[in-house]
Amino acid sequence: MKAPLSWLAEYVKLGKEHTVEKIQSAFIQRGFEVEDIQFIGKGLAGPIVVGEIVSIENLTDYKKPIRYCQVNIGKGVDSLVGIVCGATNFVEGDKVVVALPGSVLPENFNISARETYGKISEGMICSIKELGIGDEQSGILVLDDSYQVGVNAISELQLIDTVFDLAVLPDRGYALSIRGLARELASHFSCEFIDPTTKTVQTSKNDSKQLGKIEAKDVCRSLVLTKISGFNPERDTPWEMKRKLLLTGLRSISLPVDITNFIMIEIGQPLHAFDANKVQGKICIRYSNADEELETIDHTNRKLSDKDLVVADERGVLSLAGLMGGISSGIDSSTTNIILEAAHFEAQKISESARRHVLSSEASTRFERGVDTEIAAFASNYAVSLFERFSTVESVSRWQEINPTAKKNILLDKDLLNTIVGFEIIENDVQEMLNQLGCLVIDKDPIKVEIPSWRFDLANTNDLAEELLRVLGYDKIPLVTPSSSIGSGLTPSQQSLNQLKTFLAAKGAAEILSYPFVSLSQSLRFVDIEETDLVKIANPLSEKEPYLRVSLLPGLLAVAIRNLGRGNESLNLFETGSVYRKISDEKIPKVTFPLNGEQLKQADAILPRQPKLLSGLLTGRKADNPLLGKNGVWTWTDAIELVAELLNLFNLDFDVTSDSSKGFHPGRTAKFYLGEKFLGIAGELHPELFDESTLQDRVSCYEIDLSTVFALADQTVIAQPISNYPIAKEDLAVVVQQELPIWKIHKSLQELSISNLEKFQIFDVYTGAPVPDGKKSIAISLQFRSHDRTLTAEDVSGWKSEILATLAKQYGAELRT
Amino acid sequence: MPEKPNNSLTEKDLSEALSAGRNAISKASSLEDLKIVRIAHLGDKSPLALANRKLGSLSVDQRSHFGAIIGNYRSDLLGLLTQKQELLTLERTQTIVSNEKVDVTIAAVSRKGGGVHPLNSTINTIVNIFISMGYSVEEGPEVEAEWLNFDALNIPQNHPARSMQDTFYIDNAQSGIVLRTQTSPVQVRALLNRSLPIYVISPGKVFRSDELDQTHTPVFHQVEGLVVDKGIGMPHLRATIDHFAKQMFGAEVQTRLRPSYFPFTEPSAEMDVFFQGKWVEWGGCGVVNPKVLEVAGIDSSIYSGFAFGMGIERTLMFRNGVADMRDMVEGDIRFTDMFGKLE
Repeated sequence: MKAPLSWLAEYVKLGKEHTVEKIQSAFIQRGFEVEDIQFIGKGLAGPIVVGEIVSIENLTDYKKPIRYCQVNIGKGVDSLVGIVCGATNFVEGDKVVVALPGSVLPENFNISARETYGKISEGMICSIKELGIGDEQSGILVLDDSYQVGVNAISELQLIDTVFDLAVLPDRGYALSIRGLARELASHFSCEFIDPTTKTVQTSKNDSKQLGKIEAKDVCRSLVLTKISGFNPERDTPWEMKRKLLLTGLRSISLPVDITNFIMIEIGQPLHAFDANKVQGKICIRYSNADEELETIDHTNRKLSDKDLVVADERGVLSLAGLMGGISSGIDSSTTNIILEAAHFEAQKISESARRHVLSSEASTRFERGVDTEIAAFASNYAVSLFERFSTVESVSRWQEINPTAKKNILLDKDLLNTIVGFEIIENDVQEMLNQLGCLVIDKDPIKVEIPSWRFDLANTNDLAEELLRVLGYDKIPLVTPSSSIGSGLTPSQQSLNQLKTFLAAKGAAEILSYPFVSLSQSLRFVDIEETDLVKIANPLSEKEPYLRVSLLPGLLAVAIRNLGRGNESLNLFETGSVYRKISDEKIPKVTFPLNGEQLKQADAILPRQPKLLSGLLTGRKADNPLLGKNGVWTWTDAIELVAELLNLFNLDFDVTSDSSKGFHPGRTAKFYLGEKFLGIAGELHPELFDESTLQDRVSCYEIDLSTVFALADQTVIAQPISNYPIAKEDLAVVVQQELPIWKIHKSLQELSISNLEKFQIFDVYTGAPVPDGKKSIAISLQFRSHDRTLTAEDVSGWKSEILATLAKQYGAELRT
Repeated sequence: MPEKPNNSLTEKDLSEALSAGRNAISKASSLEDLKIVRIAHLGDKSPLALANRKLGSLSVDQRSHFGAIIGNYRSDLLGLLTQKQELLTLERTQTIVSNEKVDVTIAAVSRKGGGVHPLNSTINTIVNIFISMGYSVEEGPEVEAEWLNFDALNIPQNHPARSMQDTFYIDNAQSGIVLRTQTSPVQVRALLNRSLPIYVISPGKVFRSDELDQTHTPVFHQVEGLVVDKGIGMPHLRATIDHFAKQMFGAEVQTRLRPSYFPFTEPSAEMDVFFQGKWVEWGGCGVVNPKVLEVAGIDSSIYSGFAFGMGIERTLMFRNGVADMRDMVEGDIRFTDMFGKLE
């Protein structure tokens, strides 16, 4: 909302002390962000005067029309000035604005006498744009006849002004008007405020006719129709009105349209003007029929719905109520009879239509935020008075239906008020501050506040507290630290996630964050899942990626490719995040208030399952130090080792199998379990996916189900005593089938019930002579220790035999001789 | 004739043993040699040791005479040997040190990249501040019920934020399921799940239907705080925000509240931080609208609360000078590398 200071000042009696800076901070304190302040006419310097075109000589030797004009600038016929002008929108006798030599126009445009087109031009005839008022470029500014030749145009035409461009919050529709903003300033500075809607407006010819009716009474509270007949369409909008509209960013279109816009900006009531000759019979506010259509003034043909509120006549729809007029009933340059509509429409209704038609207008912006319910009749009269003042009118007929609105009252809870603002406000001050905002305190004990007809945002003590704080200033709120409660810190899972990320970061892995939007093939090629189990977005950003991810790997792969494209060749990436699986096709029903835990449970039973995963991707050279000989390439071993390390962080007694899964290399992939529970997968990316990826080195990756891991990891360790008795070391070599996974031996050794086996390590695997074909030799170092004695050679050889016997039984292992 | 018993001692023999020992010590060129020399000349079977053993069979005079000589000679040799030992040890250490000299600085050249993403480490910083104030971290699903994201927060049916231009819907616009547009549904969950009083903070991902550009991203991060307790008002909010800002940006920063509008708070405020010479908009806040408490079944005549929220991307942008949103979302490792592992 752009508000010229001169316009505000008509309704709030500001003093000299109210500088632009003070007004700016007043708006900020009141919750209106000042997006810009325009200093209109900055640098403007005279002599700039009103002149009269005495004669026009058309210079014809040039490609474009050039006029040489004799202009009377008020010093008598003998002192005409000659001015060359390229515009053609004026005739002899017109009053214009003349910048004489020595004057300065905005942006340091110095005017001097100069020779041009073979003539001496002694100044410039100015356009609106050149005067710095607006962007309008339809030739020079032609004034009406009321201006005296020779007067100072800077003061007479108010060419200097300040315009505040304010952001108005959605709950403050009243502030989309000069009236509302002037009231805010008056309240802030405790200045006199004159409510423009209490002005007496003079209208003369008046009779009453049944011009219309309201059918949709649920959403149209009042309708005032005024028929203005015999209007003179030749009359132009006077400069004082034009100037104001231009400064608020509106164009000047025609006197009738400008009058409706002027009133809308000044008091906030949108008006609509129909050409009465294009309206058949009575005007009716009703819901549209589903088969109706309307071509709006933006030349768009719109199919209407039975939810659209329209203004119609006997033949059909004239306009979308509160939103935009129809082209067929609009006024044009020959319109002489006008029907003016001033109505009050429900905010929500207009908002729905605006959204349905993806349409927004000055009128709908105001209706959506709430228009004063009681100013339609005034706005109508105001308009008539302006028509009569600026044009000629033969007769005026009026008809209105106004359904009064019950006044809203709030009982002010003083204790709650004190709690919210943090200090006590004297009752008289409360009353005075609320009065200045238009609220009436109608009862004292308890305080009862009557809410004005333009404040739809005020409903309870909290709302009034905000109003009072706006008046007093948010900076008056004291700082009080809450006593808070005893916290219990992060949950074990939250701590685990942090630890795990720190661990990976310390290993040189970089965390990335990718979008969860994926294509169908990205999902199906990485995870064994049915399309129907994927979560699909109804309105995706890209039609190619309408699904939510079921694995983090597609995102990591895309990031890896992007990195490689940018020359980052050594990649150790990880991401933690949710994946999404549909578990129900049901809709989540609307809820009834108050809410309860049962409704939450119902929703959770329908929402997709959203487990948290950790995934990583490794490719390219390891970013270690080649000077130290550490310059290998990431492989599947690194991925699997990393997952094992990660699981060991949480003391999980996991099991691992050689396995395959979608997206992974069938021969180079391991799956991790704890009992039956799947923990994660690691290995090499499937060669087929790798080939398509444009990456240079093979890719290894892993994915861990953090939700499961964290649930299993939450255990307290019970400590064992540390023995100081000597250790007994022994090596054992066994021969087994070549295809037996090492992990099996490892797991069997782990599960032995020999409590004195403190430690073991498989330290060598050997195939080849003398080990028979199809077999391999596995060398294991064993370390025994007792908690209560020194072990003997017999102890150790006994256990060694036991171990051999176990391995022989489980895997047919034989002692290597 | 029986051989002359070999228990006689002569000064000459002893003096030869001494000079043989001295000679051997001086010739020894390594610690290993010296060990052999020690055994040969000062060991149990060395000439001086054998001579010493014979002393018992001598007369008292002889015994004391030869005893003194043997003692002197042995301590003479021992002294020399100790000196030589020290010399050879020193020499050996010097040799090792000089032979094994390397350029140790090559090991310090190692520079593994990697680190927690700055958005997440910023979240951690924020979480730590609030954990220390006794808050808990509340989490919730990203695919969320529409009523938790909107209805429960006093956002009307026709609110522009609900349009498909702003909100991602799952399946269709009537499914009642959305990608959450704010972390506020987590607060509603806290209101429904937790017992009072409530002090929670909820960081997380949120989604809005914007194309990625320098200042927008369809997926971004927010952190919101919620307190519901007896007697809570704007002063508690102001003190909390002020403390939070000082922890985040330094003790010298100032904060300011300006009136604003949110459906779920009343009074509402924008919070600004005076940081590096200018006021920066940081987030929104306010006293929890009593309608929201009542909707969640909390008696608003007894309990009141405050809530606040801010964007993590925005925080990172002005706190750490990130100029382009895309740097935060594209996963270029150079971005994370800049921040180090513990930032």
